[in-house]
Amino acid sequence: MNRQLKTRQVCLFAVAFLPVTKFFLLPSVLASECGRDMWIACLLDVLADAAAVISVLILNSLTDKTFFELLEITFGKTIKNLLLFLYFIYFFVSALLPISEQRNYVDHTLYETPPSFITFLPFFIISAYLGLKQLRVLGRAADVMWIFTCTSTVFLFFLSLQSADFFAIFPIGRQSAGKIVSAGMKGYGWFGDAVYLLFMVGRFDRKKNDGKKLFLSFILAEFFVLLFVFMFYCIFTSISWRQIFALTEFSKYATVINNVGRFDYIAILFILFVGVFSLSLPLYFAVTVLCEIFGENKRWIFSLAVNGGVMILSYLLDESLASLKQIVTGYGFWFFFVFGNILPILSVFLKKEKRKIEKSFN
Amino acid sequence: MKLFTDLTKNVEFLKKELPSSDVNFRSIKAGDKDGCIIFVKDMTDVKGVGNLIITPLHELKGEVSDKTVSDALYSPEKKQTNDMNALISEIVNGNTALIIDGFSTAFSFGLKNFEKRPISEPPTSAVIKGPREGFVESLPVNISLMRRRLKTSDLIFENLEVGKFSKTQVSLCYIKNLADKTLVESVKRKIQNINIEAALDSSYISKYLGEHKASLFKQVGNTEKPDILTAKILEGRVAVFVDGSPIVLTVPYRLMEDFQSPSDYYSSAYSATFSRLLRLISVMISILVPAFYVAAELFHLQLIPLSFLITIVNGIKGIPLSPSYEMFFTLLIFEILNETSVRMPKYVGMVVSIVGGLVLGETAVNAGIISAPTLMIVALSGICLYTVPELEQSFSNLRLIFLIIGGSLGGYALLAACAGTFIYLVSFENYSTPLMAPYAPLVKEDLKDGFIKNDLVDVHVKPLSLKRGGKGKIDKGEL
Repeated sequence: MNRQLKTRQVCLFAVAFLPVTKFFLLPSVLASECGRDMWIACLLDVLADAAAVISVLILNSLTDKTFFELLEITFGKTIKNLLLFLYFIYFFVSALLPISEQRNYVDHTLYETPPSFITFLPFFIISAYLGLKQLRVLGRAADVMWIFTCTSTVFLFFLSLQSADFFAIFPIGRQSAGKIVSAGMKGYGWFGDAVYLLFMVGRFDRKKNDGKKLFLSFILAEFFVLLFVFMFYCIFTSISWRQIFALTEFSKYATVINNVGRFDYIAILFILFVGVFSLSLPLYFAVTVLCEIFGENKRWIFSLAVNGGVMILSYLLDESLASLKQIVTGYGFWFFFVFGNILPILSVFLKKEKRKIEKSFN
Repeated sequence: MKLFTDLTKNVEFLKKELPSSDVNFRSIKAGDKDGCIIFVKDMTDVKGVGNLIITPLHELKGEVSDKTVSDALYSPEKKQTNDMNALISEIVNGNTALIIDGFSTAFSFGLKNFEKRPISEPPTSAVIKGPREGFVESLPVNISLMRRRLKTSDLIFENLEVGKFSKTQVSLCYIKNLADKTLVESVKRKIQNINIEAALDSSYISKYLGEHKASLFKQVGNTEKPDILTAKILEGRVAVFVDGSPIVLTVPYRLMEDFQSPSDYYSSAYSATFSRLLRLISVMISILVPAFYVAAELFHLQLIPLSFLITIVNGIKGIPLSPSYEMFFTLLIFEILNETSVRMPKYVGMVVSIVGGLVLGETAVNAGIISAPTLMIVALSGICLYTVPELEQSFSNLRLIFLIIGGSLGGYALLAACAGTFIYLVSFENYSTPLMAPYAPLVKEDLKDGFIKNDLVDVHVKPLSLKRGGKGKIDKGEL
């Protein structure tokens, strides 16, 4: 069954899952490149994603078919499988950095005692379990998870308001355009969210104005990130680039925390909870792509293999987060940009069968 | 097997098949013919047998036939059969049989008279406001309680039989046009396929009604109160009554049901909302706090506020067990006390509670075996779990699993375990109804009777998340 989701669930999927992985390493990467103009670099990434989202939404409004079906109609089965395999590599690789950064965050920030190597293991088990489920489960999870994302983020923003110096971002645009663009390019490895929407094309019902709702929800998700980056610089100003895992430090200086204790950890734990789903997304779609190429009946094998593979790699790269970051933010840009942005934009040109017009717009 | 026309042969056969001493064979005269009344002594209204069967038969004169006998008998519940097995089944069910010499058919009369427990308030769902009647073990009484509340011809009871030896009467109850036909058929099929020796309680049946065999969570709803059951079947559910059990099963089941207490509907929306949120928070505290406390103590001391940390450090000084073992054993003792107090007679149970809860706990803390914060957390967790008693079994298992994960791998693993449980719950469906509805999937209309409860006048009668028949049927894609 193709239509497994409601438009509402896709909207909430964006709001719930997409911002979370960008709260850890991304702000310091942007800050190290262009300091107080980091939010402009982030805005560039958001705009690039917005263009891809618009393109995918146009495609979605023109067809009832899924992305897989459209690829097959346009290129035939062999090319479709080849392209999907490339997307499998994309998902696999794009999962590596966020998982490694979250693992480092958990190990170094959350655990006081030296954590054992199996501390992060349950994530891979849960991710493999999620890989066995239908897309509908992600939609249902999003129905609840958005509450955690929104309340936690707003709560952290609220707590950190007091310690933020909003004048720190002035003068705006002090960095050269080249540096800002370069920072945007370095940060793009964390974006490319339109690709998830692309893989959900034809899998959810649409009615009048749904396109607007979807666009707004994707923009809202990225607006959270933009606001986070903005606040991040206002709090840490010139030392922002050194704040690798700033989520814990974000609201640390609120007076109320000095009086009551670190109850902001509740919000951080909520974000980490949603993060389990967010980090699993590329792995989930990698499994989905393999299932499309090789058949749904081997789903559990693919899920185990993909999650096992990423787990082994993330353990092998245990001490190499900096190198991994360098690859993703350096040479990796074009790889992520092509698969996360250019191809979703070009998808609008895929051969389509005319969409059946829905008469009921309730 | 067909009945013989000869009375002696019939009586001999029945005496062989029903050798038990409580089965009575009483010879009578009906006009020019001999006859025999067979009944189980302690299950029959003997006065009724005398007044409604024996007396009218004695008054018959001359030649008698099937019709004259049938017309002469006053008993309102009367059946005729020519099948020997059916007749035996009628007798062991407590009905009275009449065989007359030369007749190829026998009569059976519904003159059961059991000792019944009077209708009383069920101990599992006591209310301050609202009806206090509860179901009893007698199926006819339970059916009458439902009929009294729903005076409509659409209220359907379908009788089935379960158990090779017990032949327990099971009755499906639903409202025609409200309950989905495929749901009714599916429940009926599942009950018909049950192959057990005896169904002693509805819990036997509930195991067969669930669609996931090894589930940690409940799959079938249950209630002991007719007012709740009325509301549930009005929502399109199917109820299963089992003779001998005061607990009535309902399908499909949603997790939200157990957070809804009957008193919520008899009080204001504000207080109902407060109670429901309190139950949710309590359940969360109960499941997560022991595990998070142990994880924080072992791995994340920075999560604990400084002043509380100092208290904990003072409390755990000199405790020989590690925090995980300490919590695990304290929880184990709590479960043992719980089990004992349930099994013990009421007054001894109270003594056990006092000795266990106060004396044992106090002494253990004073002796330095367990720390006061651990004891407090276990007690809090135990109390909180009983805010939703229906889910006590599932959640106490979950609490233990979380404790082991939190104690061995820390907070992040615990978060991952919570995420895993959440994935399990949102993907769980029974009879095409998502367990986590109306929250996952989000069904806006049904939220009115969710944790935040709207006033009764705004609440949708039939939840959209339940698969149902008639108008307004929704497709699965909508969920």
